[in-house]
Amino acid sequence: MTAAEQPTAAVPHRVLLVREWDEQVGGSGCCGRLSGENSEVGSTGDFARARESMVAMGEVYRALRREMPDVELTVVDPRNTVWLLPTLVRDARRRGLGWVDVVRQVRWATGASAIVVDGMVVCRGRVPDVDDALLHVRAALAQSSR
Amino acid sequence: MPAIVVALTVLALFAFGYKYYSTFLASKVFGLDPAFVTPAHRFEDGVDFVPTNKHVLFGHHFTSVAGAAPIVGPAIAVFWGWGPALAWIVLGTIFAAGVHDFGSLVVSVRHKARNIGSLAGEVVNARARNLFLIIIFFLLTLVNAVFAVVIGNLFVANPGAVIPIFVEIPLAIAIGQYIYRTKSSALALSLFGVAVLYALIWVGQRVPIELTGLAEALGVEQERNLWVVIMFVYTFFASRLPVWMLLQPRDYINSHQLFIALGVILIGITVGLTRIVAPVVNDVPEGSPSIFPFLFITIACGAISGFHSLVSSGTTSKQLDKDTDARYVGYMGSVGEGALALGSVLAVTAGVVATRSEWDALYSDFATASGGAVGNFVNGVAEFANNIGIPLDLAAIFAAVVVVSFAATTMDTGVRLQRYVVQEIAENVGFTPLARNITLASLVAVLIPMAMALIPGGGEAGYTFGILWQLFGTTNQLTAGLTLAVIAVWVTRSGRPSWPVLVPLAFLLFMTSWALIANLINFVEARDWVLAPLDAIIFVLAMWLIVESLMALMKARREVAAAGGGTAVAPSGDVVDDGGPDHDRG
Repeated sequence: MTAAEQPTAAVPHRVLLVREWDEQVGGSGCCGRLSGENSEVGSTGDFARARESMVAMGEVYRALRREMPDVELTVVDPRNTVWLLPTLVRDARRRGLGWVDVVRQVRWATGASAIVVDGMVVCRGRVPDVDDALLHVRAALAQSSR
Repeated sequence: MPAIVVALTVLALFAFGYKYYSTFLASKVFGLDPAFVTPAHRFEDGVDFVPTNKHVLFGHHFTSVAGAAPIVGPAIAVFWGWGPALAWIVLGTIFAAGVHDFGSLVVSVRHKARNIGSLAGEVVNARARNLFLIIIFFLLTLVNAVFAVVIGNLFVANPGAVIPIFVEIPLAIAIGQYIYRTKSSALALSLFGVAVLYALIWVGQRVPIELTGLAEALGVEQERNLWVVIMFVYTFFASRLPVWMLLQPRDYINSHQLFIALGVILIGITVGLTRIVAPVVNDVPEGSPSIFPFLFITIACGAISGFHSLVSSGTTSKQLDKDTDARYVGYMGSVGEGALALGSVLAVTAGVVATRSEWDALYSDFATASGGAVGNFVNGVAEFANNIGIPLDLAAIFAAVVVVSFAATTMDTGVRLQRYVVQEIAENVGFTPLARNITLASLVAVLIPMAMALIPGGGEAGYTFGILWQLFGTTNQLTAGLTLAVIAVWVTRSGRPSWPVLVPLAFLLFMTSWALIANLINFVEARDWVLAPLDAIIFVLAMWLIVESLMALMKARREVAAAGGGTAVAPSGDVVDDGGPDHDRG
């Protein structure tokens, strides 16, 4: 039995909101680290771009949380490769995608912002407005076999 | 002894500490409560406050706390033998770093996810916030100085690493531009960037860049010092660039390199069946720094790191889904850092050379051990990489590129942070020209650590680096001490046993003060008028911290006694007011 054929009935739907946090991640944590809004010292302006994306994705997050309370909703930084990569592969395989499609989904999902429903990327490149996001996520959930 | 046996033993001890000691801390000391509503739920907005699965949060937290410092300290400290170095890494990780990282996360969560600096002001007293800023100022000064020396030494020893490192800068900028303008996959492009970076190792090997001739022409005594100046000129400009242009794209490259390097070390040790050739306890020459107290400040990060509290209380505490997840995320973050330190010890005791006599030559005295420590790590990792089929000369450049990438990022960040600290201190004391002029503040942030890296030591590279590293260790331990004091006061006020926090706090402050006094005597005797005042100031800060901690602890005990021996805070330990999230910065 392949991974794609494993029974998946008990697994809840997972929606990933991929976007950067307004902070530095790799390489300096033990000796200094830059961050935006949540920093001890620093400048909020440093991470203005990431902040913009965080705020926009925050609106999508609140709408999804309100409209789909049973869905497992996770916000993840694309730099969190150690968690994101295996999760994307597992979810995409569970959906029954072949390896070429899995690689394509992983590539699309690891940009600066993306929305992923059960391993399938439904929005990428920019944070959609709330109505678009709800539409895409609903459609993808309807197609998902979970 | 086979390195893999030592590695598995240490990892088993870490697992033991996590399973039993962190459980004890969670239930008896921090009083974790599954019913407690964390700030992530209380203020949930999908922007800063986001309840997050603990495995997602750990991935983010660990990538954020891992850096270059747990490599350098242990690589020097094996001078006293691998036994004491590993003993401090294991005991420090389990009983000090675990308490510190886990505790700072819990205290922040119980105070609406506030940062540790403002918590110090609230939980200890208002002066503690200023103390925090001053300690951070000295910590960043020393961080920038030591990492400039690390990079200088590595470029001199591995001239093949120069081209990959300097091409990495425009490469990261190009990748950043492409990702943010075309909204392309950051993962694919950053992996491509790593591949290009490693391909450039081959170019670097064929075109090594040495500055010996230029140094001679300029009358600079050591080539390393020329690299130090170049690095500070570079960071002066790099720290002025928008972060999305260089720092963030390099973040992706660095996060891949972290796991690649960890994989190479682990697989290399396993495949090569490498044996440790260094002594368990080294018979150090007379006149060397003694194991007590210097071991405990030489290994700072890797046994305990004060900066972790800034990560724990910065964003991690805003994402903690359940109170009980703090044990996994916080304690395991410190274990991850301890594992990096373990990798460093194995590289410089098992990987770097094949025989005891060769090792003795590398660690013949403290100056040689200190000056060569990072180079030894690089050569050790190269040997591990060679075990999995990478040619040794290319592997050495690979390891140097990994370390320099991390160290250079640390400098970029450190100079930028230092500029902010300088501006904030200038603002606090009313010195407006410095507070408002970015160029002036950047110059201060660059010139002070550059002087630290170049002036002391009379040209003896190892001496300079070893002593600067120890001073860095003392400031790092003071940052950790301040955080432990905040945790201890909070635990005391909650009426739970505070000795698991007080013991590492007292131990750290005692060892740090002892080392500072010993070094101060040495500096004065040697008429070193650069390092002696610096050491004296850090000692005053240590005394200040001890006094503030004692006063805050006694006050907390009085509050508990006045409450009839119960708790001086709400039963959950949460803050009593029910307002919205606080803003830590003005």
